[in-house]
Amino acid sequence: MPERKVITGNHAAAYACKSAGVEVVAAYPITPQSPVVEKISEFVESGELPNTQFVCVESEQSAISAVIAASQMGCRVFTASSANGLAYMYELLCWAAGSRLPIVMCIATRALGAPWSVWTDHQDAFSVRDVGFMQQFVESNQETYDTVLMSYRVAEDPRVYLPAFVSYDGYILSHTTMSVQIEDDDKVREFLPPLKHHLNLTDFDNVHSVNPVTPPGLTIRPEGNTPGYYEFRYSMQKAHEYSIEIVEEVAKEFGEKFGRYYGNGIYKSYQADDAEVLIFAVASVASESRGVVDTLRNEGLKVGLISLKLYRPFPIEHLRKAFSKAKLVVVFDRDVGYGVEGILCAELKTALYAAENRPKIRGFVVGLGGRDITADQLIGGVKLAVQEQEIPEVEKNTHVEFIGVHLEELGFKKEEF
Amino acid sequence: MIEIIFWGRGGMGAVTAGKILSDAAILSENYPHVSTFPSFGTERRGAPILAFCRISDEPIWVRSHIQKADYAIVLDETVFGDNVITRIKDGGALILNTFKCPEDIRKEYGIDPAKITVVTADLTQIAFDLNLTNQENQPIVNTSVLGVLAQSSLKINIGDATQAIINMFGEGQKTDLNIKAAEQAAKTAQVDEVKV
Amino acid sequence: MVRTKQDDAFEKNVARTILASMQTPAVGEAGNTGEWRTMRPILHNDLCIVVKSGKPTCHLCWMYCPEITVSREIPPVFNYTYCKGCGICATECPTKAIEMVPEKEAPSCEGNEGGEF
Repeated sequence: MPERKVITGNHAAAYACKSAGVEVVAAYPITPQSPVVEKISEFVESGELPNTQFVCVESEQSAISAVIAASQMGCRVFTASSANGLAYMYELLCWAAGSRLPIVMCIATRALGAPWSVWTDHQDAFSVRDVGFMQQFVESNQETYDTVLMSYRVAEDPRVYLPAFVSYDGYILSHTTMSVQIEDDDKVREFLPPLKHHLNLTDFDNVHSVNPVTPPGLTIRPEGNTPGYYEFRYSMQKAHEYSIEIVEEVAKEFGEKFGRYYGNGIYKSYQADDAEVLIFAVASVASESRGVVDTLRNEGLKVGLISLKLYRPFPIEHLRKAFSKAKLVVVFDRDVGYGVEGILCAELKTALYAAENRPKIRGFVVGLGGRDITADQLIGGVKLAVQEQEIPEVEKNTHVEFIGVHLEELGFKKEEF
Repeated sequence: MIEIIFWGRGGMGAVTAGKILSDAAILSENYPHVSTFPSFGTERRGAPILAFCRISDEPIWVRSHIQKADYAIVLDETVFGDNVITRIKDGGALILNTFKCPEDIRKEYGIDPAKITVVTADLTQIAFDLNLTNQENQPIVNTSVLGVLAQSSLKINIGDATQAIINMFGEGQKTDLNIKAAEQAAKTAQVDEVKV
Repeated sequence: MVRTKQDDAFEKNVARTILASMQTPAVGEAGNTGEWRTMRPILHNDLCIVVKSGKPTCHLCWMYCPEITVSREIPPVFNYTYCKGCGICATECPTKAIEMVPEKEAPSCEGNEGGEF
């Protein structure tokens, strides 16, 4: 019987690992991720996960190393981290992706130091966008649970074999208690059968030499030529490109089996069909925007929301379709590409550059370092963008706009200039 | 959607109270959607903290802090003041852990009886009477307050609350004490006569 | 809004101020932490080793206080502005000379008990 539990986002991720029957878990604690692995270690201790090895490590770098090694032995593995811990993993993340290991990892998003902060923003998750992992953002604890399961299924698909991140907001989801349906192990097993890995270094009949020094060119040899680095990376990019349809397929199958759908598995839309103005955001910012859409609709503005779920690979085709009727898109970023603009905003602009309909795009940065994002701030942003959509100078502005910065209180006064 | 804010101090279990309440809300079958979270941060023992709880019969998408609450629950009188009163909706209720009576609180802080119902309960005394304390001999008041809430217009009864307490702590002597405290709090809570 | 020269000048000023220089350590960063107290430590001079010996001898309360709110005087003095009432001093005192007493006063009137709202 499926069980309804009132649990935090971190525990939802841990329960997903339990349902998925992960075999090796290694992680190093960091706020706000710690409770995920604490819960998994409880499961291991109590015997609820009898076939799981919990590896105690001394750092995040070791955690991901242990997980990579275990994955190369053919195990289903899990780890999780946040912010500075995630940054410490960076080198090995590239290693995991380059080896095409189906690792699933959770990021409880948190602002990167300095200054030191334990609160949420999406900077850490976006900072690892180019390592080669797939990446999904979620809006609720149930979605965390479901997305971890779906990510395993996609990552382990022989057509994909790519590691995957599941990112949920630190505190806002990681420490927030919500009702989550935990599915039956047997039913999950039907959806997510035991891992059949492309790699198993314990299988001595099938000798591999994984990741030796790989020269720029091919290695020509009598037994058969081996690929150069370039071919490896070409194949990885193509794996990303062609995984989008598999993400969609898996999301559909998940929905049919468990009755829960998250849009089309790529993005979730809310009141978007007839919308002239669309909000584009991920995770907590997107869920907060849902109320904003309702409020603005009551005021007569035709507003809708596109909440991006699959961030890597970036679903360009889907987004072109999603924004094919919009006149104006307002992007709220809980992150900055320092020296450019909000990362999501920049990427959306890139995606829509060759689209038939090119809506105006206005980006705002909100809620860095856990600054509470209120509906009023988002409403203000949308209204401002609507008001000024016809002003060319605004459109050409290269300065990034932040909402909710308190400078007056720090003694900076505009009148003085 | 019903919004509840708990005020307390680090270590008093305000966040746990919110969790138990959300479990009770689910158990009551009147509120299938819940969202409970602390004010987040580098929580320290003794520091004033907030916990937020939203319960609803519709999915909850709001993720920001609760600005104005339907129910404001104050576990420690020393954190109570205008900062609390200004965050209660009109028609909302204030539940305060104090030995004082609602009338005194109303007079002391100038609370408009037409807007806010004041409820007081001496949860600290109940805890000491039942010997319901933690290792540091501090009274446990976060479970008994749920008994007071069960008296409110929330569609959560004392049975749901006690079951949620059992779900949280498991069966045992200490859990029984918590339930006893909740029942006693429900009986002894003082509600001001002005009905809203 | 269309950007003006004033916007540029203002933003440049913010950009060229190193905000880190505005972060400084301070006494009572967490405010008046004495307000956190539910129990107050009281010293019984007749039991206190320091008082009885008249010398700075024991002073375990001073040593163990995590908030530096017990002085190293004869007798030791509590700083109630910052004492959080954690009770560590009372626990550590070898002669039980420190007692933790509740902060509250006595009730003043009766109300409508067990009512619904």
